[in-house]
Amino acid sequence: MRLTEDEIYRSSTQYRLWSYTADALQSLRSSTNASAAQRVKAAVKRQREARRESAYNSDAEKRVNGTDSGAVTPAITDKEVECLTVEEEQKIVNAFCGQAIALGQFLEFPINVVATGVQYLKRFYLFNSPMTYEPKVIMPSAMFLATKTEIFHMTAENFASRLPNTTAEQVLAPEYLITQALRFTFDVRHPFRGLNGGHMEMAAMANGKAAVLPSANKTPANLQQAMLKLPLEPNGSSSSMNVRAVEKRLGEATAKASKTLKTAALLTDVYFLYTPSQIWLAAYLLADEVLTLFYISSKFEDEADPSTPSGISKSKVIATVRACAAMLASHTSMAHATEDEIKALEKKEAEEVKAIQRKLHYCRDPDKMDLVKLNKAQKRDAGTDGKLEESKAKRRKLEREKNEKEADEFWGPELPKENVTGK
Amino acid sequence: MALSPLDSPKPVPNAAKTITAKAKALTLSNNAASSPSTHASTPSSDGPQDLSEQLNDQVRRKYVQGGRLGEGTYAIVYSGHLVSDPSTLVAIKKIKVNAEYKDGLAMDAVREVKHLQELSHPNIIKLHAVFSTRDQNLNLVLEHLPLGDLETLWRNKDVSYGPADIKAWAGMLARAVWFCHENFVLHRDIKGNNLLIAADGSVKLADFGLARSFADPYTKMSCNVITRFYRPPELLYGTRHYGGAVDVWSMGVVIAELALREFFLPSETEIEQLDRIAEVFGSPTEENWPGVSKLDNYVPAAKENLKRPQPLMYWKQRFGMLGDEGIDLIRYMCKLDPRSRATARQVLEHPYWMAAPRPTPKEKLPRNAGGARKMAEDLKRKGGEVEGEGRADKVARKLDFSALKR
Amino acid sequence: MSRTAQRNGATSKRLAEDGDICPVCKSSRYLNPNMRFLVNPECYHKMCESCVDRIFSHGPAPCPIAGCRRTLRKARFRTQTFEDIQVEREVDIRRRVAKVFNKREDDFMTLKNYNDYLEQIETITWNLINREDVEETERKMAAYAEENRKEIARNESTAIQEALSRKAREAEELELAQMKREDARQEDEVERRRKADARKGVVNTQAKSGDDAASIAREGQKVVLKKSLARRAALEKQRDSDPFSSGTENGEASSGFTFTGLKKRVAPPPEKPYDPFGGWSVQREYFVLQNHYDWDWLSQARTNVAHTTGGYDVNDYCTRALCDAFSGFGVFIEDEMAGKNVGSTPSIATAAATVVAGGKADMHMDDVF
Repeated sequence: MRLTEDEIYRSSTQYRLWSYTADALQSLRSSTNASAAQRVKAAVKRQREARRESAYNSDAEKRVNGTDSGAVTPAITDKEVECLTVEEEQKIVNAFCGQAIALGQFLEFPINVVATGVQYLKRFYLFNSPMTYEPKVIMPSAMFLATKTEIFHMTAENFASRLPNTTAEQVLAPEYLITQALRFTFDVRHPFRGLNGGHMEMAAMANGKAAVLPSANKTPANLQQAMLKLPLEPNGSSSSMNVRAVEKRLGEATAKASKTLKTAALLTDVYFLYTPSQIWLAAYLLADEVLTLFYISSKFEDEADPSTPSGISKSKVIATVRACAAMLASHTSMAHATEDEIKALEKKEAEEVKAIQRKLHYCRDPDKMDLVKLNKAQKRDAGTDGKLEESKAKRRKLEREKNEKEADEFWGPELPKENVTGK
Repeated sequence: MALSPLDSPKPVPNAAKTITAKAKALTLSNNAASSPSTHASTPSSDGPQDLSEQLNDQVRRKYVQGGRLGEGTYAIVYSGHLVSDPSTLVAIKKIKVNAEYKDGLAMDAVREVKHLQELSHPNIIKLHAVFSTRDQNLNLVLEHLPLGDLETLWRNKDVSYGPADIKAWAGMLARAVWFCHENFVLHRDIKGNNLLIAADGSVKLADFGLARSFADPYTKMSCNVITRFYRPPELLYGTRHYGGAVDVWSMGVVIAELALREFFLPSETEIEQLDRIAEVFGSPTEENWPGVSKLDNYVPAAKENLKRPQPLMYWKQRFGMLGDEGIDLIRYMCKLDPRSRATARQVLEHPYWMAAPRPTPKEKLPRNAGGARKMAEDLKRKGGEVEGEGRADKVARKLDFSALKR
Repeated sequence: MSRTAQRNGATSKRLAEDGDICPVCKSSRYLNPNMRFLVNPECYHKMCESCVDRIFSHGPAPCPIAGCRRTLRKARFRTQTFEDIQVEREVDIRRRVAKVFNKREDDFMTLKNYNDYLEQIETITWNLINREDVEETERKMAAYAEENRKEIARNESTAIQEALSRKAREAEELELAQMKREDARQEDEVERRRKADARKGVVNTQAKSGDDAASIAREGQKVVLKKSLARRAALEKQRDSDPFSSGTENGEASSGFTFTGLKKRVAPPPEKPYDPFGGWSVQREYFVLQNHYDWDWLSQARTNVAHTTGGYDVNDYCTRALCDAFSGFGVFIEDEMAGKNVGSTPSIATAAATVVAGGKADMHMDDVF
């Protein structure tokens, strides 16, 4: 078994379970939406019937005891419930991902905790719809789960206390649903450390100390020379810079790419469609195209369409990175526009989201409204259902241990047998 | 109807029960008597199960849960097998939602599931599937490892083994740790009873309850990891930044135990553990471990009981079974200074593996009486718990008269 | 004279019948009862033990029987097993021939080949017995024996292996078990002594003697264990010793015997050298790790005491960063997932949708995990 970087990635659950082609993603979301819409309509219809019945027999009582209550039961509108479309669902989920990032910054979470939380949220809403489970409830719980899996310890109370009017129980209630929706895969591979690795290697190249791939048959020296002469703009004239200038250029590009990774990468579907290596290269491409292309080609020989010994062709890699970069650029935060234009864009989006939220208010799945109650019921049911004697047995065991402990304190522990007979 | 085994003539009792219970539990207010969507009964107006729940049931129904093998504070272990093929045995480890941990899913359950999902290697326990049951407990479907663990093997007097067997077991352990480190995962709880033996005789590293991935610079890690007998000196001195060397030390101690057939560095407290280490490897000082005096819990040894490392004779006498290369490897793995200690890769590149005697093939390795009961003991134990922590031990400490000076 | 001679002849004939007279020294068993007769396989002439000692103890000498000029050696003399000297000679010849041609049935492709082989051996033996071109056959046999020394040795060892009767093997296991019991008994005894010392040790603190009783006991136990282990290893080695040599099967052109239909004996592949990595290897495809990257964010971690003394290795971080940088560099989700996804996830989705919509769905799905 040869463990190459690609093999290590292929053994990850992110590759095996959470990578989709674009149309697979689309079809999965639409079917989730369809099934959720079905359920909402059915649930609402059932609830209306229930309300009509209760209203009906409360009228009958009133008629029987002759008093006619003033309040006429509200006209139960039979209007068909209008459900969210897939696009609207995406918008609202993205909105809450944005809120998650804001929450992460507010609570000073490290970037990998925030990023993992956002990915959990996006993965959750692949298999569930915002109509069934409200993002407002799921988002904090996903963030709390992320603090656990990324080893950033925080108790539930402490987390809940720092959120406006949420209790620990509300944070923990959806956790079970999220772990189930994540199909118990908690490991998310991020591009941040990859960006650092790339930056380190490029800095070494700039100083002429890069360790070169045997297959790429280049020497550190001519890599450095080529790097110094890189044009600023794609197909611009070659510039001549000294090492300091190139390092500054590297620094800027890395900073820009890092900002992209912290915003656009989290809010678009790149994690599902591309690999972490391609994501950070795409972000770097948006920051400094010439540098990225130079870096990628430094991994290949200088022929027309070279490929690595294991057959990965350079043009295919560059095409994929460009596609990923296009997706990243499509996110509003990346729009090349003046400050206030971006502000206007964001305001418009915020209004859209508000409209969707109002609409969502009416098409929420009545069963799943209160998750805390649902959780308790589930546990109680589990408890009552055939597990009763088990919990009784456990209670008895606990009692026995308790009075054993009391006996200890009073009489002091019984002498270990061995000493007694030893003498 | 390929999905549900309910139609099979011998409906599995608990599967049927859980289905109906689930229906009742979930559709709380919904009084429609719609049985679960999988039944071909009247088209229910709405499937009560989300997509992810159906996936979960899908997985749960693949396994039949057999008898209970054992129970501990951390988990209950059941035997089980595939519905489709009753000959493939599995162990189902049901993680208990312990009441006092108010933060929902326990940290070590999260860690174990997270890392076992990522790693797959012949010497690391295989996690076949994970599902949750109605009472929101996590169930891990793990590999069936009936032949007990390495510690019970060397304790078991009627099992006799030679240098070649030790080399075979040590080799498998070294490969498992090397694979973890190549995937940038620290196990942090390597000890005899976390190394389970499969039916084909191969040793499997289990219990990733304390595992974590390699830390980035400047991020602190917990120093209260690894069972005390196997804890390296830098953790005892409370360092917060460490690497793979901590696992290599534990591995060295485990291999030493295999050769000695008794605990190599047993102790009651962390101070005594440091003394035991000093007895064998000499007291840590600035010469043999530059910078050690700057660690938090470091206490410089007083001039008169400054211990010197044991001479080669001591090693040859106690570790004859390992041969000279084996002794050299153990000392290379248990160097006091973690920087000069071997890495997992350097362990595997050591000439010990190539020297005579050739490691015995895994089928011919001596076996424990083992059996399912034993497996439960190993699987349900929580990381960091030494088997002998019964009440009697505590008693001994209370009655310690030697402390009273005459 | 003739009557006495005749009587002597008769007596000697009669005595000779019950073999009581030594043809060399004419002493008879009647006078000295514990006289034993020896015979030499060279010329099969019988003589009494004392004559053999007398004549041959100073080295090889010609046969004393008149007319037989064979030089005999003392060592070769042995008691005669068969009454009839002819039978004795034939058996010796057959034994000698069988020693050289000891192929077995499973060395041959078919039974017929084995039978042809046996027939050839019988003709050789018959020639030797009837003294037909003995020199020719002897020479060829010697040449054949020389060439197939290893083959013959192997056949011999397998024959011994099988010949080792079940009784012998059981006796051996008995001895092994007995030895194990003895080990256990010794260990218990050592354990009891150690506990006694330990208890004695607790009572009088052993400030005085350097190493306490426990370590001496452990040494004792160690020595005991080592002895028993050595003995057991030796026994195991002897039991399944297998001078198995991968002698290749070669033709016997020069020795003139050609046996058809011999199975090709393929020697077992020489054991591969032990690979400590178990067949796994790590190859970096897209980067070569440098041992030093000067990046100020990292350089503090290299020098900061808290990091270095604890064993934190900045190079581990660099390896991980570069590995992350290129993990998935050559993985194209678009094509690799195209095939896989159609199989599982969308089918779940569509199946789920139909199920929810009330239609019965045949939700067959490949392994989700």
